[in-house]
Amino acid sequence: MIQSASAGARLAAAIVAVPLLLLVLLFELLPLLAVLVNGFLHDGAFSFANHREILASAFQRNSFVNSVVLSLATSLIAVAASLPIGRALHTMPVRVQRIVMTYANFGANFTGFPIAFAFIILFGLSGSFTLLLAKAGLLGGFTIYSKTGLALVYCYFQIPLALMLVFPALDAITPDIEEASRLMGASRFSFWTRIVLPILLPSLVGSFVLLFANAMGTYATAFALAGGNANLVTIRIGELVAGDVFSDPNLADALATLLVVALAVPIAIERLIARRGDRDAQ
Amino acid sequence: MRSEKGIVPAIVVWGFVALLLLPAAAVALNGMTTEWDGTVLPTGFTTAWFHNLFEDPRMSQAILNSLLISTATLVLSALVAVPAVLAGHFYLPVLDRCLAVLVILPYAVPGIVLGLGLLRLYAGNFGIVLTGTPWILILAYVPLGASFYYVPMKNNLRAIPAREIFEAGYLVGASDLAIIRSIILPSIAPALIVGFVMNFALAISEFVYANLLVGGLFPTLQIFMNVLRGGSGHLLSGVIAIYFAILLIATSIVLWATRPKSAAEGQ
Amino acid sequence: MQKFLPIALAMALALVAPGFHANAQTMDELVAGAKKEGQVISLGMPDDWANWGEMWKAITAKYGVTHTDTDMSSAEELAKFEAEKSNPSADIGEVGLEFGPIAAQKGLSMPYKTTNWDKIPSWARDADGQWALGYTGTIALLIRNDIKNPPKSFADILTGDYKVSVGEVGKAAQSNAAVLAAAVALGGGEDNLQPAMDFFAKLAGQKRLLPVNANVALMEKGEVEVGIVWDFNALAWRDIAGKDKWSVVIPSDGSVTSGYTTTINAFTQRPNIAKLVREFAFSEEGQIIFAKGYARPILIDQIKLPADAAAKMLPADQYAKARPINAATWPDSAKTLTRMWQESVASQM
Repeated sequence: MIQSASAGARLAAAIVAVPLLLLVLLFELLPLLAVLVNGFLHDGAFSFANHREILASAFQRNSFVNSVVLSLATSLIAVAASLPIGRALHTMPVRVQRIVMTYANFGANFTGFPIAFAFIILFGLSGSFTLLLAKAGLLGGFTIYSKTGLALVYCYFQIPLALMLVFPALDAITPDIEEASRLMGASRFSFWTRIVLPILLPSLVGSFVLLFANAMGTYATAFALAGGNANLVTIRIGELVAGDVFSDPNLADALATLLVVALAVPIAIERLIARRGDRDAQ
Repeated sequence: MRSEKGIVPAIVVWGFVALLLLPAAAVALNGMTTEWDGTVLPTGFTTAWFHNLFEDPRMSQAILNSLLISTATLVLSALVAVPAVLAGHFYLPVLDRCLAVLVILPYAVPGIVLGLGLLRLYAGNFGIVLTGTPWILILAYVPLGASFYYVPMKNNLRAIPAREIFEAGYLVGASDLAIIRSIILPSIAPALIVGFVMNFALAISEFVYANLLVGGLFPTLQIFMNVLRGGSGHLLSGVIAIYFAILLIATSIVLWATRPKSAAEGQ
Repeated sequence: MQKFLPIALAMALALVAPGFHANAQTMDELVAGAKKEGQVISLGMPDDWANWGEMWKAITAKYGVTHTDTDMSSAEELAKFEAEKSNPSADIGEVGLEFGPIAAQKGLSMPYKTTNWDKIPSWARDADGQWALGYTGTIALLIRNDIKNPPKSFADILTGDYKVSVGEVGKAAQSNAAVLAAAVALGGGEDNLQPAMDFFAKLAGQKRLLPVNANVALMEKGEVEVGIVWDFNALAWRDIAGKDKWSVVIPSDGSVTSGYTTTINAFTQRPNIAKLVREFAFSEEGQIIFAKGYARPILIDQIKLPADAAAKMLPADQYAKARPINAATWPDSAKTLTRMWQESVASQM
């Protein structure tokens, strides 16, 4: 933040932000508000009935647990993987960096039915790798149609997304810092834990939250790979609002509301860390 | 410095790329075969599926529609989000904190739920009709894609010595705007580029809003893919492969257009 | 004679049901109106489902209109009708049997009784003309020809060693019907799904249950050994994936029959063409088109199918143990289906 900014400059800044805020209000907040309000409607009356029904049902609670565990795991793996890949990429010429970013962009957005189908081609019952691994005796009961399989597919798009988000932060680990660390005799482990991680922590946490939200909100990929079998919140919502046998959009909206609430904790933690990090940087 | 690292970074990076492309290659391969049933590799090759697609007017229509929406989303999002993020970071901490939360929110909510909300708001119940046109999509994608500007830009901004840059700029009498335009922006080029390509890709790969709010009235590649899901898997794979190609080509174009102008800037 | 019958019918009905506008027009008026409307926009009626592709070709040619479809689930279609009521874009949709009454109850559908309404079996139509099944599907077994001991019934499946694909349970009418069919075959019904749960739990325990529903792409790729889907889907997919590689049978120990109904958007700006779509679907020509797409026309016992269409129907004796779904009780039981599935079956996988 520019400490000496004049009131005029601040006003100009506010005006410049208005278009985005307007779009966010009209096309994100208003629908969200509608979802929130709808979640409170039960048989035409305002009440917490939908939310209570969800929280009282072990089955629905389980869907939250599953969603959180899957999202947490894949997001942590993604952020962790983005560091070595990002560092390796950072040593390469800019030309190469851009090419790799092209493919990372591609991977991060390769979701939904197409990626599920692609993984089935590779790892399904008759998948190329399944057949090869089975021949070599290495298969060991793995199937893409399992929780592990689903997590694998999630990692496929989470890791490149993490790379895209974290890579710009790596400029902070300058050659000078690396040089200084080496001169002071720091081991690789110390370099990573005492220098890289603290510097990058706000960026890593910020990226993690987006990755976590991305995974929590994933629907099409999970549905295409696991049908109704995966007990995830988004799948439960899909049934209630885009099904062919019954529909309960109010319950679906209540579920969605609780899903947003589930994000509150990671966001709160991220804000704490970001505030501390930005304060330290002043 | 680089040569000291040796071959390991190259292996890591290109290994990563190879793993990313593997599923795509599998689908593309499936679009070129007559039979791939229970074998490691296909047992019969043909370009018939691709011929079929290139002759299908729905294919070219879908490509055109998708490119239109995605390009418009890229341009609008860049114009609208980049200044806002900079405004928050440098001038308005309150805005910055709000943006941090606002950009994450839409991710947790499944598209169908927000989509239904958008449908109820903009299908004419309140006098505005945006559904049935590509505009509802472009406008709705901007808040969705804002996170791909906010997070990378914040990450990049933390990595540059912003305070020193501004102090140096003030010393030579430059205005804030000049400093931002000529030094800050180029310094965060990596983040901006992430934003551009991710927004384009988000728009071209989005299905739920597109199908629910516009559907057959302005069919995109994703909608066309959905239409073909009931038929031959090879034809479907062909469309998916073409969609990949378009995404890769478009991303490459954006990267080429934003390439550094001089060798010095590039290092 | 043809021309006067609708008028006489309409006048009689107008006398009997005062607020009833559904058939106040003549066929000529409808056709003229449709021509002026010029286009029909549908939801959930894609080309590759129950041969709607051929149906739309015939309709657009016959009435001189253009057609656009967007595929989506029944719930989404009704949500779209409702949300767009001040500015409707869609004219007609096709929804699962359970959604016909829902649409009527929410005021989202426009009633229209086709000229041959009385010929439709009473369980397959609404008394007020809000909905009617144009064709039925019966849950069938889609079987890869190279598996050992291909099943002829649900009971047979337990003794095999092939994988069974049932996905989308809880969301898709087809998958829910598959579970119900298993229940019926094994002694249960809409109010007693436990036999089906036990059956699928056993399969899951044997690691023989795949959570992804059969479709052509997976069939071609060797991912499907036995699928449980509607007969019209099974037969149509068989044709695309290889007629010699797949067989389709109706399970001999029991199955369920259901269907999908056209729902005319109550707010549509193009009611004439929308009504004509339903009219055509129930006409002899339309019913034959369904048959050519393997969808058993609702009026199959009353029309004369040409040889090629008749050949596409599975032998009638296979349907001996199939019975219609009880549309009154099924939606409520189906709600419990997801939880039962999660608790009994998914936990075993």
